[in-house]
Amino acid sequence: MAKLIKIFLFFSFYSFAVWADGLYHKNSLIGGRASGMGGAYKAISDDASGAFYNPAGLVYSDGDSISGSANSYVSTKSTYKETIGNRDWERETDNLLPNFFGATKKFGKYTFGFSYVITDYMKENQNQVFQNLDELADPIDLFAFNLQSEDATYLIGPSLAMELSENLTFGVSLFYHRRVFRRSQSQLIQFGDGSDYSSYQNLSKRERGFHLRTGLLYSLEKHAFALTLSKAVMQTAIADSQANTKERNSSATDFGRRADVDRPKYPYEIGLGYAYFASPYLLVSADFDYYLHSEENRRNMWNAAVGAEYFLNSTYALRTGFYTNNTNSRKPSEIADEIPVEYMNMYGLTAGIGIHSKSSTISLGVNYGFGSGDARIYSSENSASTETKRFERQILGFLIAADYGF
Amino acid sequence: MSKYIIVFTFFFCSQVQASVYFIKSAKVDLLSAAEKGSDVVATLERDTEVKELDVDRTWVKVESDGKAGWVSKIFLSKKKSMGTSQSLLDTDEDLSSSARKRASALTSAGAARGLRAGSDQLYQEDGEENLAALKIMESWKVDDEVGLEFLMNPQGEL
Amino acid sequence: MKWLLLLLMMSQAFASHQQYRKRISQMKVEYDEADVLAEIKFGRELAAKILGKYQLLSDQKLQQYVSTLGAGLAQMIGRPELDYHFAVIVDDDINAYAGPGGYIFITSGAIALMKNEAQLIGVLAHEIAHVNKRSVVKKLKIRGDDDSLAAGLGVLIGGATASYRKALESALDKAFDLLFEEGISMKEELLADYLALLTLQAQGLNWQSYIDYLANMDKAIAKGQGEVVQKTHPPTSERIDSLNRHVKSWDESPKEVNQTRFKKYGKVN
Repeated sequence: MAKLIKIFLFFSFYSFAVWADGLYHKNSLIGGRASGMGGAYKAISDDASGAFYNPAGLVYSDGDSISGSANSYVSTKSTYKETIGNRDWERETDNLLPNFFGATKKFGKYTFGFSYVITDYMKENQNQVFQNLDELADPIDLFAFNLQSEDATYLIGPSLAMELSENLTFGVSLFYHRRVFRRSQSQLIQFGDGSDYSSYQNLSKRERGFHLRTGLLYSLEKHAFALTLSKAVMQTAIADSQANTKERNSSATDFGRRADVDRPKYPYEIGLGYAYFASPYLLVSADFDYYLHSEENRRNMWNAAVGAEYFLNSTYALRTGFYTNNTNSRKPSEIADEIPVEYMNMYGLTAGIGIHSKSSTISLGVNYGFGSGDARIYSSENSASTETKRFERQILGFLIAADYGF
Repeated sequence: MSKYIIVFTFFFCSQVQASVYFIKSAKVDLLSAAEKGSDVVATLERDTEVKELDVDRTWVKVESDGKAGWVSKIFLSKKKSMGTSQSLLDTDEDLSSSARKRASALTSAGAARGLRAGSDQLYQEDGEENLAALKIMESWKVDDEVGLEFLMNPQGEL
Repeated sequence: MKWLLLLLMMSQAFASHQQYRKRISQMKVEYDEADVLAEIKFGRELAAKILGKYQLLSDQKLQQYVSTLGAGLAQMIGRPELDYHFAVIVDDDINAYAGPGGYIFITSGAIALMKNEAQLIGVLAHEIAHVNKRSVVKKLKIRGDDDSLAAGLGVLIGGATASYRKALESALDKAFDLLFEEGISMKEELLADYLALLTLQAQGLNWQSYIDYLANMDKAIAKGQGEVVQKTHPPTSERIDSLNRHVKSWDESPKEVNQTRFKKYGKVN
């Protein structure tokens, strides 16, 4: 009986909200060169993508430029162990999306930028049918499940960078932030005894606000040091949900509607970066980020990244990097039982190639992310147990980017 | 004291850069004094790397391969040359084929001249452009050696 | 005081960081073979256009004299990747034109004004200096094709297209204007004069004679022989003043002008 209830509640109203709900800060690597280097780019930051990593670096961009488009194809596979009866549950998504577009222009001592960044994107489409779940105490003939969801966070806005002195530059980017989340799911369960249960749920969230990113860059011969500070503040956030449920023991459908304001608090991000320009061929870099969270159930945490770029000749460059993508969720044991939790830190490896010609550069890259952790995927509202299950995730992304100089 | 040493090291590291030049002209005489007419110490060829030793207004004293002497600064360049027009010339190239060749950027100077056959019909013989005269002008090209000899030797005859 | 010195020395050391940031791909050569070929191709077109407007002087000996001196000078101070071509064109006006790719024209009026070989060498050197600077090429952004995969894809992504013929025609018109109407920058004209003087000095020739030539040109322009040169060059008095400033520190000018040879070949018939 307990297992049966778990299956129901597995797909309860709140279940998938956790997956992409602002738990991670490094879901999207942008910029051809930066993403090849694990995103360890704060102290480099000398192309259009610098508007995001460290606006101060824009001063060192090579003339006016347009960073064509960076497209990434991302495939994600999450495996929740022994969740449907004894079976693992796998979720796969794949996305193809442009995640960065930017331009820079120099005016004397100032450099202007304008960019569009997708910092987070998730799209999911699931159609699953399980049949003849006989191992249950209360057998189920058919369990059909359908889920569509999309969650995108966009930033768009200008940047300004300037030299403060021969060795020190400062930059600021002010983005308009917009997030749109939509999810609809439906389920049908036909029991062995002839009864059935069905539900339809629809949730949409929209938030708008501003996202400020500032930075300093200090250069000393072959070394560069970066300090960045970022903060997003939401002006409005609306969540709207509807649910229709036909319970097993009833022939009527219940309808429920809820709307609330759910303004999330984004953390203060403090960043440090270092780059060593060893030679015209070799460059190594490292970044460290610290996030100060003030939302309930989130914790202060850090991320780190290291990267390297090596030019084989004046045309081809190889890049590689490693980064952490830690969760800002508290551990399941630290969160009230009613709330579902996913707790997993992820790691990523990147590799890329840059092909340089007179006025343009093409970058190709691959990003492999992985992690394993614990998930409490159903709340304790209707369950006696608050068991956590192991789960794993692997993400594989491909990136293509183009930069044009004038 | 140690911090002074560190700073001095920084200072000198960034300053120590002996000026290196390359000979720009086909042939140049290294002179014993900053004046044309003084003794010739050595003759240097194009793209020879030299190190600057001294400067006197428009003359530079340089050192190459153990020999030192003066040259006019007009003969020095910070970079090596791209090679002569001969290196751009690929006389074996089949100029008769009219297909536009995009295989390599290194088509020949000769082909550039004869590209009329293959290129878009850019030339219009409508009096606006005189190709016959251009061909004549190009036929007047004098041999490099002959020209240099003539220039260097005021007594030279055509 | 000690700290000030320290700070000064430290700022010296720190000033160089920008050079380290540059990657090897950014250390491009100013121009490559493809650019040179594009320049030559364009230069021929322009030369043909100039010869559509002006006639070649029929004096073969004079043409050979100019071409031979020019070839020698090209070896001395010219870009080795180019073949320089010289021609005297029929025009009473005093002028010389330096087209891209090394196509150099001198008017018969200019030759007639010259008194010796040193002056001719000076003028030829001035024109070669213009070709070396590639200013017409740079102003018109004449570049070689970038055949690489990256550029091709870049065009695809960037959606850039070029209508070659239209671009060429308008470039030719613009180049013609630059040579005959607007002029390259005045600063560059003065620099070319200076290089002409340096060339003469390096040759042990009478560089003062070039300045005298400019003075004679000034008089001739006053008489109406300088329609184009007035439009495209700084006032001759300014050119002379600029050169006089340069030579203030120089030793006295040699006297050699290669008069004999000039008398034989350099007279306009």
